[in-house]
Amino acid sequence: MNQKLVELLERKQKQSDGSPQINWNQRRDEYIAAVRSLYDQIEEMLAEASGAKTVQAIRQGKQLTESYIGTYSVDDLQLMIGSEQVRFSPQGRNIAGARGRVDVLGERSEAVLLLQPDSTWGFLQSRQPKLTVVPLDETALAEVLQLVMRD
Amino acid sequence: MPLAPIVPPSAEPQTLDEVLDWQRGVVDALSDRRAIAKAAILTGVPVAARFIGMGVREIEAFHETELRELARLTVLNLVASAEATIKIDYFRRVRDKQKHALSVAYRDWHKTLSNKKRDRPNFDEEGILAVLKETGVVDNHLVGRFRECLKARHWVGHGRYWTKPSEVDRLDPDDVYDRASALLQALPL
Repeated sequence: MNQKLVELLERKQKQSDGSPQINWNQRRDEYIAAVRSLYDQIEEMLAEASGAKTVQAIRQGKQLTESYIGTYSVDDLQLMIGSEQVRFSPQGRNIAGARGRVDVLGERSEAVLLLQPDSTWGFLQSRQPKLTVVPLDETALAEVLQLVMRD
Repeated sequence: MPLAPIVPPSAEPQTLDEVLDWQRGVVDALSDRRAIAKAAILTGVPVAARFIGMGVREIEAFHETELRELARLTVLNLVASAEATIKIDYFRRVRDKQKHALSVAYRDWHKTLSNKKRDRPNFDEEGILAVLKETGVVDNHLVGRFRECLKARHWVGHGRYWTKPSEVDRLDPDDVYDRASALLQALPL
């Protein structure tokens, strides 16, 4: 075998030996649980409005496929607010600078929610010129819905 | 009284090779940054703000967008470099009064220009390239191939506000380097 090839493979093996093994199943399960928790949090925030039948929330399963993790099931959350639909759509666990992402898709625009390193969800307000991620509370949820829905 | 230098001391002309080398250096840096961002997905290490929340496909798409923009700016710089070399060659031939057919043609044309145009002669149509083509001292095909690059350069250099010429997507920096280099090398000494 070519010596350079042998050296390359040995070097890569050593690099791999030195780095911690990633438990992909655990990552997937934590992400799925965090998405469920997010939906619970949103439904709780909207509970009063939902009680008045102004908001309907439906969870619908879908399949996501990611590198290393494979294919798994996770729910979308669909909100019917008046005649408008807003969909919370998980984008995956393998996300730079976060532990997962859910996109919020409205009829006017889209927003991004990120699972933070402390396992709380945040709303990505901007990347540039300054990174701004605010905790997802009722104020942030209102801002997200206003952003993605028609005026 | 000594003649003013054609290239003043504060000028910073770039060669085609310098432009291409700069582009390759930036491509390397962008590729390294892409690799770091993708690795951050696996390792969870902090990543530059512009990559926060991106998945692999978005990082790749972002990288492609940056490469495309870099290519456009490189084409602009390559054509500008070649244009500068041809203009410097033009002014030298006008000033030095050489006997070569191209020098004679340049001087004859130069005499027909207004004082303002003598300082800043047209380059493409009804300009230096047109005179160069008329003399036939270089293969006209080389002039024509370089002229196509000018369309991409003008579109980028003047703010991209009109319909994008097909040359912008058709010609990459290597194509433009080859075309510009071929024309410059064909210029008679």
